[in-house]
Amino acid sequence: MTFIKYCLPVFISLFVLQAPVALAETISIGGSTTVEKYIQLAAKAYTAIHPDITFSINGGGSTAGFAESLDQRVHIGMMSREMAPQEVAKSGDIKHIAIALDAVVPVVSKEIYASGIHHIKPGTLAQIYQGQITNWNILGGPNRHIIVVDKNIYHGTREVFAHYVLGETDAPKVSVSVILDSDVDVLRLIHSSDQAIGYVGIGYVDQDVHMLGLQIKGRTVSATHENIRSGSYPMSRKLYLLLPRKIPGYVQGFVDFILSVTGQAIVKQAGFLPIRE
Amino acid sequence: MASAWKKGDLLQTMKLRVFTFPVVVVVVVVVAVAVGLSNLKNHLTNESLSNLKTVNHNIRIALHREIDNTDLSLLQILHDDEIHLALVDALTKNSATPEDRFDLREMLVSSIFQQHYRGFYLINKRQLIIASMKDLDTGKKVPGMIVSAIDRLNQGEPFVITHAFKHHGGVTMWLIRSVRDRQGKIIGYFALDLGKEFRFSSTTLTSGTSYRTGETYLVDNKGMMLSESRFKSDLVKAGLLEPGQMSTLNLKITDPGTDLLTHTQSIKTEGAKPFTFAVKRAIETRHSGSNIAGYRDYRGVPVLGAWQWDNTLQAAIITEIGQDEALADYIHVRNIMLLLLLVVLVGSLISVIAFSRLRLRSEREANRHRAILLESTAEAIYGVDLAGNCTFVNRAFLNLLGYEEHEVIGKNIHSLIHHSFPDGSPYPVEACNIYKSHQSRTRIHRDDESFWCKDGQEVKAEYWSQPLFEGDDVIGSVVTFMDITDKKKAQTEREKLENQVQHSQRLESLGVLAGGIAHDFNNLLAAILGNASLVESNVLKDPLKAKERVVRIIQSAEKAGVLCKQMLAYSGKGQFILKSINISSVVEEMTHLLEVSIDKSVFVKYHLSEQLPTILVDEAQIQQVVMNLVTNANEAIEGKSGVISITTGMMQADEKYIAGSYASDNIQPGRFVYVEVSDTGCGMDKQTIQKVFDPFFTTKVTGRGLGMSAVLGIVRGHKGALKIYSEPGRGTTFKFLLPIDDAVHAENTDVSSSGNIPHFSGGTALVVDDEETVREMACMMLEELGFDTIPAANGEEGLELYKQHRKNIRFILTDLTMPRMDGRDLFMQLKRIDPECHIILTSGYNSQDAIQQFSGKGLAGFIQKPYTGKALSLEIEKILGVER
Repeated sequence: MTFIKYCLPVFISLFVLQAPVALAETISIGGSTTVEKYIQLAAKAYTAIHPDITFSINGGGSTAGFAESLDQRVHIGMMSREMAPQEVAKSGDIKHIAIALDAVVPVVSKEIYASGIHHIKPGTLAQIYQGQITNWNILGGPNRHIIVVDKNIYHGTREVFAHYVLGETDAPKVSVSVILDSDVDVLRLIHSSDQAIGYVGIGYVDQDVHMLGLQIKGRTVSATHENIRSGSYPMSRKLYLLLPRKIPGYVQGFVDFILSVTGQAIVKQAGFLPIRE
Repeated sequence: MASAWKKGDLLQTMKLRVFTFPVVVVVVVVVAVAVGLSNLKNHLTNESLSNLKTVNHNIRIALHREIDNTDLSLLQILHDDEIHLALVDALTKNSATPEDRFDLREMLVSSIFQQHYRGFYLINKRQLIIASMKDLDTGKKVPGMIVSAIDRLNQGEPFVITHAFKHHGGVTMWLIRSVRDRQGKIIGYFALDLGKEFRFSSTTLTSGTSYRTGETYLVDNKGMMLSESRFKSDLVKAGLLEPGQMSTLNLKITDPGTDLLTHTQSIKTEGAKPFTFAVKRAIETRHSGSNIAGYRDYRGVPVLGAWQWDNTLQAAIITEIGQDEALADYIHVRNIMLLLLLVVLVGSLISVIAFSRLRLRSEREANRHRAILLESTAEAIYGVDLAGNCTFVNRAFLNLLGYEEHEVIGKNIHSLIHHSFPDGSPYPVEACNIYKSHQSRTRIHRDDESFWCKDGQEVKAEYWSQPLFEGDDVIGSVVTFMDITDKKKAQTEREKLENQVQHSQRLESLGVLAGGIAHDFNNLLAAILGNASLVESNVLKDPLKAKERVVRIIQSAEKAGVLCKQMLAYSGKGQFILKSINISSVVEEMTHLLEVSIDKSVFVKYHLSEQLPTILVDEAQIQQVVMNLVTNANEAIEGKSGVISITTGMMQADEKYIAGSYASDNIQPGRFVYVEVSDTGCGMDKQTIQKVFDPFFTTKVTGRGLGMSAVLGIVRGHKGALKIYSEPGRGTTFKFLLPIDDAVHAENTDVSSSGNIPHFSGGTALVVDDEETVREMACMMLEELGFDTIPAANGEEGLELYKQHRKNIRFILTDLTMPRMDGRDLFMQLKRIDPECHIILTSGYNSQDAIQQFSGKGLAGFIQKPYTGKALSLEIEKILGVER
């Protein structure tokens, strides 16, 4: 009898003393798809170090990112453009942290690039986007109509592009073939087509993407790191995180990570430029 | 030998019995656990199967939904009037100008790219691309995959979704529909290039991964994977994939033969490997199926799987889960169960061992106690086996006979200690009583043999030998004996003394008698002499008076003659000559002798039963007994006036009665003839009564005190009993009983003429009489006639007994005058119970007076007392008829 009495607690403890499942904390992040590309990588790296943190990351664009951050629907908002004045007015105590540099580059289909069009004047870009130039042969390319790819006005990249090329961030009169939502779609079209032009964030540029340099005052300024950081390349932007003033410790930890050397190294992986050298 | 083997066998079976129960328990538990576990396994496996099927099913639905959604987009495109027009236009023209193409592109670009697709292809009936996103494609033949898709469309399928295939530097899938003209005729085909975004993997890698080791993937009819594997890292490690390579279209789902996760091997081994079980079955049967027994997947990991073939996709959808994970719960439970089982086993083993140890210990204790007991007895005990060899001796044995244990154990005990009779003559073992008791399986008790010590000394012993049984077999004997040398000596001395006493007593009584007789002889002689002298002197003078005188002389002489005769008879033989006598007659013959021996003031009353059975006795000795008792009674009266009554009769003596009497040991209860001598003398107190039989004890001035011991000896010798009733100041009664002579008692019953003893067929008779002797006599007579008898002492008793034994009672024999319900009342009562019962009345009165009151009342018969056996049987014959 006593033997059984001793066994019982032993058995029970075998069941009870399993590895306890810790409670996970979730960090929710939303906003710019451009920034999202980086955040995905950063989050993955962070989870490797802190397995108790999980992430909920969504796109939706910079504008959405601001709105969500304001409503505190997310812990961290992502924006790939400056806050508009009205947004600044509403921002309240939302902190605005630059974590990377990005540039917007014009891209063209392979065939177009292959035909010799390697750079373009901003004005020409404007004309294309305004429908004044409709055939590549005008620029010295093949005799093909131009498929103009624009992005949704909520997108930061569009803002940057429109601001620099068209002079305004809002939607001036443009004449485009299609308006797409993400840089991925833009590139897909650019690749599928043999006559398309669009613009994407520098992070999306790889060896298959053919970007055009900007011809400014007779000089071609390519979107190199140096040019972007130095400011020579005009179509650049900062990538921001929006944070409320009071954030939980675990969220702050992630932000600190982003700004750390490790986090900034990941910025490079994402195709952006670290905010610091 | 044989007994030893049997004992060992017994121990074995006992041990087996002890072990059987826990073994049985363990076996039952094991079986129960095994059954339970197998049930659990089945249950879990079935659950897994049901899960797999559900996931598989859901994936298929999800995939179809995605396809349908995509198709919807396609339809939307195709149903757009502008687009449709343009398409038809281009198809009818069978070509498209760059302008046309651009227009088409412009029209389509939003629908296609906003929905994340990659492009479009307009194909003519000759399977040539008329228009697409790139001019390059124009005029080219469609990829091979598309040809079969077009065939399917031609056969009437509404849409076809191709498998993934490489095109334009990437893996893509096309969704194709036919383009019809207004008449509904197919004029061409429109394909939506779904691009990288449309992947089965997006469904299979999200919904299909419900478990840690579960995945769902698609396989074409060539066994090629059509979606992404969840375990790409494993595949890379196993060398089946390059790092970063997609599994879609790159991985053939084959069975590697071993678990690649544990045995990594290069893919360049051996030739073509067979498909995995799931792929093989899915491709062969083009049907759904499952395998819950377990098979190797493309990594070699044992899995359970469920699959189905999707005709739309022209692919198998396979859902698998690692066997370990599926059975994880079962394994967990099983391990616990096995642990529990181990505990149970160990527990029962321990308990069995502890229990048997405990039993062993207590057995040993008990044995030790027993051994101590055996060793401590005063009696010697030894055991002997069937061969006659000694198996055990106790301390008393060794002490008594002077042996050491080792000198006795195993030796033939009879030749060692029991070899001779007490007189020294050899005692062969075949005649040995112990041996005989052994053979006859009975116990014996003897006190007339001796055992012999080591040094040859004789030990007179009283022994008991008891055979030892094991079940039904005798396995030996145990003998217990005691040294009775002293006892025997005392016995022989006592016997000698008794003989002496008897002898002296006879002499003494003779003395008394002689004295008395001499005294009387003196008187008689004086009378004779006196009368003779007178005659001498007066014969001539007065001849008549002289004649009177002579008569008186003759009388006296005759009296003297009688006395002499009696004396002769009394003092004569002395040998124990048995004769069948009637005690009443013997006492009657002694009357004169008795009266001569007693005081004149004492009066003797005789109550002698006439009908008594004979007894087989030595007449002289019995006479002596009567004589002694009467003499004592006389002396008790102490010269005053008193009465001595002598009564004879027959009685039934039970064990209790006998136990309370002075008797020899082996008297069986039964019928006895008794003689009672009572006096109205001084009586005896308790102390005196206790000493009365002691030789040389007397309360009288005269006498040597040997009379009563002689009486006791004689009564004992005749296997009789003696009772004393005495009260100081009131009187004493001595009653001695003698067993009746069964063989000859029939003499007393009058069987004069006919030699045949009538026989009846038995049954029971109820005999009711308040006089014991009469009752017993009647019973004896009836028993002679073959009846069983039930005696009753009065009417009340008789009625009770009748009620109890009614069924067996054939007739009732009852006396008239009895206390507590007389014969008449009994008669009435009996007739009330059973009017048909046979009642025979007996009485001392004559028949007329007695039966007058019974006339007409159904009296069966009457017999007058005293009656003979013949008379009784005649009366019974009248009632029952003659039964021969």
